[in-house]
Amino acid sequence: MSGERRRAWPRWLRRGPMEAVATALIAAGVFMLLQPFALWLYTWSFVTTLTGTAMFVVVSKFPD
Amino acid sequence: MQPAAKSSFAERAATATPEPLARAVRGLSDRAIAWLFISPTMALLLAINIFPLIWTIRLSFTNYRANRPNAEVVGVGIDHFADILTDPDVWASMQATAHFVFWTILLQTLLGFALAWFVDRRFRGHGFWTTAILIPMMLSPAVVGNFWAFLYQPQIGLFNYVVSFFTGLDPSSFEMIGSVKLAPWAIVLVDTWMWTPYVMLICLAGLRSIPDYIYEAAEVDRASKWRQFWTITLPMALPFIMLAVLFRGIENFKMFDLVNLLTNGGPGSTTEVASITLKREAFEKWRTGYSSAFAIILFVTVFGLANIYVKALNRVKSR
Repeated sequence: MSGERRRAWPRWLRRGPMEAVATALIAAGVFMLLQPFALWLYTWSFVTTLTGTAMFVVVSKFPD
Repeated sequence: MQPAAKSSFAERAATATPEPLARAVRGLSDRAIAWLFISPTMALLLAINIFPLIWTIRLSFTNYRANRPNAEVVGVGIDHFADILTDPDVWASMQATAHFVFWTILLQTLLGFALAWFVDRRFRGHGFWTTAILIPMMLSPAVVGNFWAFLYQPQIGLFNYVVSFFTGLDPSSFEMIGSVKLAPWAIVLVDTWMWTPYVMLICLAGLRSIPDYIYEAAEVDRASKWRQFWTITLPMALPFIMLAVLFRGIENFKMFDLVNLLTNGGPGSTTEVASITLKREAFEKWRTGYSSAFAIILFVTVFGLANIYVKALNRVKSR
């Protein structure tokens, strides 16, 4: 990716922080899936993991 | 020596190819040849990985049953997903999986790192002991499952007699795979026995990647061995430990063979981990659509974890 395009890319949308958010979502989804505390957390676990995984796939193409 | 004009990959491939075929190859670019070489693999991947995945996604939205191939297939939307994600029994199987994953990872990490630390001391005969420690990992899970099932037999199994020797308990007073309390631990024990060497290998790679000059600098600064461990050894080996944790987490999340051979989910549903529930829904109750939805849920979870694993792997590689 050219330096000009990299400069135009918003700082908060860069690969590093966005991957960290996606990773946190996946980790939260897996925890919600496996936890023994609340059924509603289990119910929403798949949506959380799916969001995190899809986000990870997309943001891994963003510039550093 | 090849002439400079024939140095391209296409030219070299052409010279090693029969003349009629070579004439056709000479006209191709390096990129086209590369595609030609990988196309059989791509076709195979599409046929045995990608197509079944897409087909499973499609089936997860239908009421299809594999034992009734001629019955009308009706779309049910996201009903299967909603059923699975609100079913307390499936939730219980996820908790059985969580118990298995948590304890195996904890034990394997602690034991694996401790073993790696001892092997890294390079004591006399460490090569022999490293090989001996690695043996369980090289065995087939089917073999391990079967012989541990024999070892756990309360009447003839060796395990109860060993426990009896050390604790004084009557060997026939407890059953490892027949007891609700002990069965989950029986599986944890076997998996730990089998896969601790793998964690040890990864931790050993981490420990051996730490340069000696860091320890020498710490010695000059009079840092104690204890302080060196907490401020040098552990932080520098941590990415490798994380890698082992992630890999074993993914593997154990989808664990099937050992559990199926040792307890088959029993007694009751005490050790019914997610993959056993999936097998029962798919091949005992023949709810193919429902089990496809369940498989997709497990797949997305494993895929998400695998993404984190690859990210951690790249971080370790860049060190």
